[in-house]
Amino acid sequence: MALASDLMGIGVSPLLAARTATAGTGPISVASVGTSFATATKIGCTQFLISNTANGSVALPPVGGDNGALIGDDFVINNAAGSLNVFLSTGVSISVGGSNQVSTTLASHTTMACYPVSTTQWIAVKGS
Amino acid sequence: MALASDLIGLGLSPLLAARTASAGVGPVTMNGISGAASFASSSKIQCTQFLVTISNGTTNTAYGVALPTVGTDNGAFLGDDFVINNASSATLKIFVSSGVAISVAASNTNVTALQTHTTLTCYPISTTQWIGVRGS
Repeated sequence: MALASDLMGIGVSPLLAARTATAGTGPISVASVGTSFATATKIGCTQFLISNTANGSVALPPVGGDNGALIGDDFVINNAAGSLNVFLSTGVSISVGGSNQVSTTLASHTTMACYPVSTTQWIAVKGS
Repeated sequence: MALASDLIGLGLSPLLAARTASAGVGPVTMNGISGAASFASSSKIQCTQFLVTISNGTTNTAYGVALPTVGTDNGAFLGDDFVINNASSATLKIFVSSGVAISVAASNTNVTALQTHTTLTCYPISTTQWIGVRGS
């Protein structure tokens, strides 16, 4: 289902396009920075598909509020660089890789799909 | 792509929203059945309950959920995308109905296990066959 801009071009309203496009509003390519949630590159709340090109960190958006992700949103993160850290905000965990963690890592050329299931909990499928 | 209720709020029709929201109609949390040994005795995932996390399992007791049947008015559609997370401390068994198999983790089986804090994405490709991606 492409980028929101593609859906808008075929008649879907902007808000609905941003929420239903597989890649959201983009941008898809991200050069990550940082070593913590505070300093990491923030993934936008409708930036549903990203591919990282630098050794650094990204942070999943908070859930809820006007600028947050919605429960059930689908964020796909690919790491095309070296190791990538994926951080969550304070008090939020992600169920992946055999434990419930406050952050996780993504090895080179692997991909993870993440979904918020509450304002304090994400789940993820991490590929090999 | 949120819950169907979010998309309805943006103007999508209820039926279309239920089918296009990545989490479907929810709820996103449900309980498995302790000691479930078959499709019949497991908690049933509904046909538009596309994203679920199960957290009520306790160590040493396997819990069970069941994927929906495929087709008919109350079944899943071919190509639907179901995401199942095991957030409990016990193994979660995922059953399919009689005569149905799921191709996942190097076998074609009528039940697959999901270890603690791992997630499975699965798709029906016929009325008798599912495929799955089991995450690490």
